[in-house]
Amino acid sequence: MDTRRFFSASRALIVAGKGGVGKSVVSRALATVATGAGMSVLHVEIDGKSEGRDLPAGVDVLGLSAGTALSEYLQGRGLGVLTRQLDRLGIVDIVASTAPGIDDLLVLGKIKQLVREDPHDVIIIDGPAAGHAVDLLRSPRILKRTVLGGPIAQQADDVLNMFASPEMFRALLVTKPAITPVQELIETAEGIRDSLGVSLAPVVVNGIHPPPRNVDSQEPTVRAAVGYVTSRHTAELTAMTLLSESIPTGQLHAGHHLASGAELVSLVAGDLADAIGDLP
Amino acid sequence: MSRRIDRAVATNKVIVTCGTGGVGKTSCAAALGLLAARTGRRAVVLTIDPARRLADAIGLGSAVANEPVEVRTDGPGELWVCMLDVQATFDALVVSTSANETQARRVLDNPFYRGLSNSLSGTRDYMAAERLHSLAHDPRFDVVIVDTPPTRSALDFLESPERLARFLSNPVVKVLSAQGRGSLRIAGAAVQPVVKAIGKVIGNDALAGAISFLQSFSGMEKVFADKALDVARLLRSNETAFVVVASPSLDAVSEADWFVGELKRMRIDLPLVIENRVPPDFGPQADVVFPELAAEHRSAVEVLSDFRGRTVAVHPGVEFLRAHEAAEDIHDMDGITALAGEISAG
Repeated sequence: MDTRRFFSASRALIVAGKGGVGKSVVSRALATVATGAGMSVLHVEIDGKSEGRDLPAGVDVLGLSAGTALSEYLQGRGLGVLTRQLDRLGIVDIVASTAPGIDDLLVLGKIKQLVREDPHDVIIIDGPAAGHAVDLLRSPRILKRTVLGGPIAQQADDVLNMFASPEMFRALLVTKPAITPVQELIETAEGIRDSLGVSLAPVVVNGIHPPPRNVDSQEPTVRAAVGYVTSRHTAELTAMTLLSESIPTGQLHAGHHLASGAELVSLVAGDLADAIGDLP
Repeated sequence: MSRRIDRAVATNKVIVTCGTGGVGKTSCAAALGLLAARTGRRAVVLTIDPARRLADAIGLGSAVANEPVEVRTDGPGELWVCMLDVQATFDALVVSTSANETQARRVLDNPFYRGLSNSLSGTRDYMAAERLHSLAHDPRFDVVIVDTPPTRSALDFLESPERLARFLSNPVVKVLSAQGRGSLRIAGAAVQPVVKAIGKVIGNDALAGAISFLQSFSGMEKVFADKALDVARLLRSNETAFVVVASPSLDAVSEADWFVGELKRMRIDLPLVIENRVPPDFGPQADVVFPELAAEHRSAVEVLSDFRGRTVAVHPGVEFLRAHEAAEDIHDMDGITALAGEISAG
């Protein structure tokens, strides 16, 4: 598949995955691939403090955080005159507790606004860590139950409409080639697809080791290493087979690299560019 | 018994494992439980993480729930496992602290309460502390091993008692809970415009729900706060041992550095670090045939040696234990047993 076509399929991609699978590296690598194909990219970081770290020149960065989204919203909605008291009285905490999920919904509201109005060709969102991504995506449904009317309910409806439209918004899930993270990804995928209506982009499998080579040696330590490499490879294949049987949206594979920071991002970007090219 | 790992599994009342995602923290918690069971103690592993990692790691599938279930082990003691169910824990707490059944029913049926207990992350922290409190006082168990969530907020539950107290003493909350039932009229003139504005933002239905919740809750908060403070004391006492789990990548050790520093900030001693998922070293002949394996091992050893230096500078008495990366994920008790063997060997 042509890289531009891959990224034009939706306005925004939210990258999600449990800790340790390389979610942020993959998010940055995707931004790198899209920029490399001549597209303008906005990289959105939720609760991130990295401020564009390890991204190539030309990618614009925007940080969003649940706490500040709520303060801003309150200040813009009738609590403006009381701005100074917001902090002192802990109003932000109280509203967050009175309407649980409201801060997450406001982050999604900002993303919806970007999807509609932002001039970049593609928006790539480095989602919050671990299980919190699901809480974030679930927030409009939860609020619909506690808040019946008013601007927040409207906001929740708008976000749910965005979820229902794959041209606007898709989730790109990341995993390692191992059974436990794959099982967790399958559960997450079913949750966000079936109950929230969010469409899935191809899944990224990150950190795949190369297949074992033929080795003649009968030296016991070498045989032990062969055994290790072979069973690791078999376990990775088993996990990827389970993934493709459960989630038929296709997979993008990235290799295991002994690197970190910008170097790792650029190696993974190389793998993902090839993998996107190989998609039908 | 001079090693800190032996002392911890044989004598501590609570063991808390923390670390970022993907380091094998849950498997380590189960392995520590097994080691405690081998000393003849009755151990229970509590996982706070909503994901089913503990169930998967020991191969128990859906059998792991809020109520502890026993796992067969090779030790003379017992190993039990359970998973925090926020809703069930909160419900049980409301029932046990209510003055009577009517008050309990009023709180449990409040839609605002259902929302609160389902989704607020602060509630999860608080309920984790509550669950730990009840397991630590449960006569069926000698030691509770707590597997914290794989995020930086993992340690939030240590401070949740203080946060709850702050929330309940907030002037706006006080005014809200003192109001006439169902009415939005309030006494405190200073906060009245704030309450009105909150109503405008989230809708008056939601606000009325919140108010009636706070009213039904009235009187219970003291019991809540007392229990929470009890847990805070236990966690800071020498009956509790903290264990940071790290794996040898730059990202994972920088997260581990954060936990190490955070414990110091909270004035909590760190007796043990488990360096988990270290790529195995097959020796010089294998290194020639598999230079990539040799490079993985070498890079891991370098990363960990720097990490040890930084950790010792912060917690001088800390003991390091190393376990190797298995060729495949740990997904049954055999895997846990092998890991426990490596941890206890150091």
